[in-house]
Amino acid sequence: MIFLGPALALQAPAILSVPDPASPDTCVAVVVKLPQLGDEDWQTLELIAHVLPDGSMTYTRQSVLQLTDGHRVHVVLQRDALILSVEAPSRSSQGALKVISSILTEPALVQGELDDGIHDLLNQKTRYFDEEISRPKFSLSAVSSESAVTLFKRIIRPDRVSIAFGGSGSFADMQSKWADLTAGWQAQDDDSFQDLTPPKLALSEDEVQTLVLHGPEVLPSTGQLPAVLLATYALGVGKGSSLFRIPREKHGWSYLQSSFLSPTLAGWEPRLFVAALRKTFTENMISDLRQDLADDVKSWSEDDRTRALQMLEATLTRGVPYGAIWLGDGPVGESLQDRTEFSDYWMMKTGQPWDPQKLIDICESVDLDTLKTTALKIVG
Amino acid sequence: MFATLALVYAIQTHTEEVSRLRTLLPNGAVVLVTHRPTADKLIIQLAIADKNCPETATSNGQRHLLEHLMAKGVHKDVDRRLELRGAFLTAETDRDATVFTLNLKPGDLDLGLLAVSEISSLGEQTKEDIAKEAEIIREEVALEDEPRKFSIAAWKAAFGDGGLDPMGDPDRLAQVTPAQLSELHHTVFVGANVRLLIDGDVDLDAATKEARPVLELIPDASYKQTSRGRGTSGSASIDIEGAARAAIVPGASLMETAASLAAALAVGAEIPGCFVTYTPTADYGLVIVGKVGDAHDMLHLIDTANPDQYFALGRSLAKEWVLNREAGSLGTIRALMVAGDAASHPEDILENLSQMGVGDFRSAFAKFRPGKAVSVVGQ
Repeated sequence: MIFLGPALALQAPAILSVPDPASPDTCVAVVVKLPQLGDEDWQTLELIAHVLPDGSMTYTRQSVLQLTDGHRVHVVLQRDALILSVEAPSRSSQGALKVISSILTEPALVQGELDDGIHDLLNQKTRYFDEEISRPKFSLSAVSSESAVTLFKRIIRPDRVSIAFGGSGSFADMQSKWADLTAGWQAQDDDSFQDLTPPKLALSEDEVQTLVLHGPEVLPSTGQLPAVLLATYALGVGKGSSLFRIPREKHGWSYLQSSFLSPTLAGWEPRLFVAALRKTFTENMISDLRQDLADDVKSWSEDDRTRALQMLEATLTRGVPYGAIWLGDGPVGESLQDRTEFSDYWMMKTGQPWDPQKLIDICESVDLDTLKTTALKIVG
Repeated sequence: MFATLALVYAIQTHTEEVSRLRTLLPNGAVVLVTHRPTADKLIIQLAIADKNCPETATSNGQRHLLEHLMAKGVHKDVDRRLELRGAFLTAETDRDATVFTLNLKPGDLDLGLLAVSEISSLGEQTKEDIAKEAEIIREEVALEDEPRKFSIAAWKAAFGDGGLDPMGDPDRLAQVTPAQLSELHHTVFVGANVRLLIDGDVDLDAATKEARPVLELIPDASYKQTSRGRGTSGSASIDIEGAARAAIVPGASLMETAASLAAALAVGAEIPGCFVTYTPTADYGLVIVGKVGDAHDMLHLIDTANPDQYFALGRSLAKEWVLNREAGSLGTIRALMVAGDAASHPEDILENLSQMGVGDFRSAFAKFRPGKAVSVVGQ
């Protein structure tokens, strides 16, 4: 059962419970809904996200590890959300609450930490799929503590945040403790964002390149999500998918291919990607792939629809780790942390409780013709 | 000939009581069934040890190539047929074993065993099939991340050719003939190398009975088990910024190994950006902690810290590391341990961690320091 607290309160964040009495742990997750950000603000936020796991003004990295029995703060930054979470044994749930509330209200955005973070990010190697998760190459040479704190306070406000408590432990106790810990937390008035330069995507310099097909954006409110989701599975999830059968098995172009829904501010965009060595790429590869995929989609039968539904069920309910619904830079898994973070995120994104079985049931109503038509739009 | 031997035991994990039945078949193969009453999935793992054909300079990568081709099934469509029923097959080849993992719906034991039967038989392969798969392995090699490259360098420094990475050289793999591949399959696919693990809400006896025919046709073969040796400390350099330190450890079931894992994980938790690598094996192996990029903070901690202050943290992290790699979590730790030694299991590591004293931890921590460790220095 998922309990929903006040969903759209101006100041008090929504609070979810994701109970798992069998778990020995508790997870506290916070989802911050992001506004549209320009390039500089986005990169500053990326830097903030990089240093947040190091603790707060009250709790150092070492004291976080002590409070949580060795668990580090997990941070996900994606186009529509900043997500923080930490796990701890249930007996230490108060420690997890203290850590997260402290980071939200008094982050350690001190100059030394930011300078170290800039060094890390400037030197971090671009991965072949970074472009696909809309992660522009970091290029800021300096960020002042003052500007980082200002941006943090503009974005991380009680009215943009929802909280989820996962695992075992008393929801009421945690809710009460959370209220105590965040009693003085208030939004700043200034909610404006001047810098709306579109983010730039950096091409990978690696020897592995990624070919990407972008489908049209789908919004949670339009009713098209089930068909787009199922088409994304049929096209690129599993070894019976079109992406496995064509680029890998037919052409031998690639070891890794997949499809997923990439978050946008308002919804998601289906993306198909094929990672391959630079030398494998040819001038006609994209057009050949589009044509092959389109031909394949046109030949789909009820078996392809059934396979997509079965893979949807396997990834959402049985922990098969290659689903098309991602959080950060990979598919949502079945760990307590993933379930807590995603339940919170889904509520923020759709206004609905996360109910995988309900989503599977809705997808079952997508017929073969609709599936094929939707997939052809994604393939382009 | 072995006599059939069955052993039942029950284990209380942190969340539920599970029971297991381990059965040794006359041909040396082992069926290990786990009854997990709350399981929402059925996991079947086929582990094939390489105790009679370890990686050598000439055979390097061939088991990996064999894994790729076996995973397609005899008719090269096993994945699609499994996925139509909501099942999913993955495969990986490590230095000491290849593990195929099936994630199935709770009641699909028949389907899983049928798939095991199919992937156990190497279908007909042509030279073109092999050449094409070698190209896919070339793409796979290109995706290797930096921690893996540090690991490869550490293994090579510690064990020489005995530590060769099983991925293999695609150019050489493309030259492997169908006959060579078939011979490798015959050599490695013998009873004493094969372990079948079933984990889910299943009846121990019934599942074992159903699994037996799948393994009983595998030939028995006696052979001399090889070891890669005890390894030597030393150093290697690598063309990536960063550093790694590796502790040489004996089998996974021993205290020294559990304590080394705890020490590495404590360092990894303390220093952001660190990676920790350990693949359970019955043979000598490496526990590696490393960092890509500026690794001075990691090296400083390893060389100067008082291990005592990390004892509780390391033990806690190591226990979690083990539990997160169980079959129910799609991990391969049990399959890898059983592949090397049918009587070993992850609970050995957990028990060692519970029994671990500060002295054990201090000794293990010291194994990552110069003189005892294998050091990989990034350029």
